[in-house]
Amino acid sequence: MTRLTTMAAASHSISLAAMEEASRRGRRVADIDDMLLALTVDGGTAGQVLRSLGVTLDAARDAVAAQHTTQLADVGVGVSGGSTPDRIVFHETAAKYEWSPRALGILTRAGEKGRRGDAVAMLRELIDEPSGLIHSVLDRLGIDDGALHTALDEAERIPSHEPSPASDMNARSAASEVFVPAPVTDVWALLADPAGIAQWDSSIAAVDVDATQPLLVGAAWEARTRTARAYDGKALKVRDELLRQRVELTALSEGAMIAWRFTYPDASHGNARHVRFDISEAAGGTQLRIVFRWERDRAVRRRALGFLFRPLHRFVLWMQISQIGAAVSRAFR
Amino acid sequence: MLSTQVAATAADTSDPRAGLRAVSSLRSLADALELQQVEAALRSGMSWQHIADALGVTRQAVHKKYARRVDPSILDGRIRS
Repeated sequence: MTRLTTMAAASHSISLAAMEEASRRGRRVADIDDMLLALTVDGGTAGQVLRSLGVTLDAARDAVAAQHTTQLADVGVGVSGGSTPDRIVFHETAAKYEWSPRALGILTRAGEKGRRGDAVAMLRELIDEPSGLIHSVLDRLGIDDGALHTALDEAERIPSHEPSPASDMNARSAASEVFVPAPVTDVWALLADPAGIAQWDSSIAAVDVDATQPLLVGAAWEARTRTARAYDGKALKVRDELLRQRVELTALSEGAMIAWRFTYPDASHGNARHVRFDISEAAGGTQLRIVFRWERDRAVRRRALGFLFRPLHRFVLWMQISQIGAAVSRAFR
Repeated sequence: MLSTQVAATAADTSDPRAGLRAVSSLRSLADALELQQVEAALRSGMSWQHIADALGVTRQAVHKKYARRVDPSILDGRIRS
């Protein structure tokens, strides 16, 4: 990844997770504590270091809440009943979410010249942020600022095996590493269930599932394309030939890997898409490697134009894979 | 729902650093509460003007802050007021 794409990918995924956390506490402005919570579910080095030190999402949520309760008690304000709504509602509305100015400052500084702009750079900026809020939260979690910097230094010395976002020459596939804060068995149960596909593939409203049909490679299910927005029911324009989808199980290794292929049986020509999940256990949850690939039927004709559209394809692929990763992770937060 | 009780308004100024951070938490809590109340008011049919009056700010101020932050489904079908 180039520095710019690293920064864009990190800032997008951290922003999304942080704003989801803000929505959980009934706010539309994500602050630095939401950024810390987002970093605990980061799929890269920053998240792995935090979780290896015991800073899981649940532990960090508790510490942030306790810190605010203490700070409010300092001015004689008692809070009871917890925050509302206590579940992520970010994806259920089209309301505008934004960063607080100080959180935006962290993002800006993490991306300044000489810094990498990735999640590690954000975490380093957070540790040293001047209000002391993050220091106090980390202190509650038994984490020393200096020790966390040292752990990040050590982790960064290990060569990264980060996959390229678009390793295919024609920019038709992309891979991404995602952390899910849940045990492998729970994540597997979602990903290996045809009925669960609608939870992570935003184009699908529902998959028609026959409970007696075994989960075997080559088995296929019929799915209905989403024709209304999930959060407000507003109609989406979908061409008739794209209303039905066929979902095929193309590879399976119990508890470790599963791959699905999606096609439009009524469309005379259409691109099939493949989604593959590699699942492994990680400290505090599950590490997912997601590979998304388009299978194009007119590649030769498009080759010349494809060169021009490559950056756009990469962006679209990256958005698709990041949506899948975010949806799987959200299902467990 | 979030319920708060102002146990005491100690306004202790002996440790301004802790006091300032407390104010920051308080502001965040107030923002969350304000959003909830504005959404509840809009759902109940109150106009932006009535909401602004109750908050003690101008209609323009409350509209600018919340028009895009509130759940858009609340505003669907409402007569502009």
